[in-house]
Amino acid sequence: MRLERTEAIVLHTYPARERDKMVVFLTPDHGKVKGFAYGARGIKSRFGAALEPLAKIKVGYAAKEGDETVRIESAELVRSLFPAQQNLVTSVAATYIAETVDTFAPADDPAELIYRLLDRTTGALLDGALPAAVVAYAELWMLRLGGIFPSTRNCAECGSGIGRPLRFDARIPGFVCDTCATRDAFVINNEVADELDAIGRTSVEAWAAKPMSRETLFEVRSLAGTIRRHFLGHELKSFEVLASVIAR
Amino acid sequence: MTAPPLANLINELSKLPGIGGKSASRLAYYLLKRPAAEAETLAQAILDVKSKIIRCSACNNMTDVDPCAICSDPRRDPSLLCVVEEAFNIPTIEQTRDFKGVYHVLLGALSPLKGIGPQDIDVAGLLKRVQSGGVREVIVATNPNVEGEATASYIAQQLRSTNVRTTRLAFGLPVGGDLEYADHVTMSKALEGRREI
Repeated sequence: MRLERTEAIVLHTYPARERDKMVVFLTPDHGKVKGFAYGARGIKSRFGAALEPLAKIKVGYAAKEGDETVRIESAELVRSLFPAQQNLVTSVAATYIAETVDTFAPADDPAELIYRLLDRTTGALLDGALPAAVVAYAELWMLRLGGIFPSTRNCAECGSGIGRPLRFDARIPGFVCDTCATRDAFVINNEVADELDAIGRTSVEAWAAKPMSRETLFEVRSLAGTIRRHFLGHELKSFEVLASVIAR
Repeated sequence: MTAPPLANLINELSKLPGIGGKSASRLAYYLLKRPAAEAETLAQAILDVKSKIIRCSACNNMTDVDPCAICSDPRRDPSLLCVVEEAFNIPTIEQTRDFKGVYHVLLGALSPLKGIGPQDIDVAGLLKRVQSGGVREVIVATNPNVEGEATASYIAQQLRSTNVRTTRLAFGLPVGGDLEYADHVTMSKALEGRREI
């Protein structure tokens, strides 16, 4: 039996048995961890609001060698997203970011960069940043950290350097040079290309606060969505709901 | 090797929420030991529920008569509407014996992970009831978790255009709890919902 005490961010919780919760949380050192929190659904639960999605916590858990799930012994709330989640769009955006991270983060492997990304983006949502911008930022960075986002400097087909305007071929998916571009490749607006670069060198707070047209933000999200869908072969479960609430 | 009828029962029981393979097997062997009449009563109860229980056309509660016993009770105050996520939340509130209004069951809460968006819960039915008049207060009694809160704020937003008072069940410290163990979210919610004594 190994006892761990670490910082973590709750990704999802599921009801389990009568009063328990199955909790999926992300830690910097052990990646994604799944654990049971006994009695967590009870009104007088010792876990209080600590095990709500996207809460940042100090968690103590016991892990048995060979077991897929751990036993959560304690969870102390460091930061809660609960106040911001009372806003529908923020709440759905937070769920979407959590699902994205849950999909791409490794289990039982260090995930410090992904943890920092989740920490900063949830912090930005709490500070009132534009949810659609935070989602785009989180998704693009997640694809970059996962090694899925294609280079914007080299052609995905021949490897030669590429300039503006960028051409994107959704079938690869990747950015291609003029020579390799087929009829299916479409030109990426320079403003969108600038934002793709900016995300790589700007903090989420600064990027979400930038004046940006709705169209540009939509294009950035669409591009990330195309790449994600191509890689996963399916859509994320919360995508439809996010699209419907952002469109309102 | 488990006999096919027994394996079948175990398989069916294990489809129930919260019942794993071991629990299903224990239940199946328990039923096997009980008199046949007891098993028939259980089977009949399940069949009755499926054939006789319907949704109340007014509030979505589970009932065997339409409208349900609560909606048709003349002693209840129809101007006080309590909104709950599921029909099984109603008995919890009824146990208090303090609430004399009527209910509206949303048939779920907003849950993006389950693909449940605003159009998938019965907020439209709630709005229709409020807009048809006679409602003075809507009490939103969704769960005190992220999904329940998002649902509550969505309802509040939808009801803003009506002049009906919209309230939310109080959050805070549980009876018998200890202040020193309250986390800051629970404590701030308790402070927010404080009242004069």
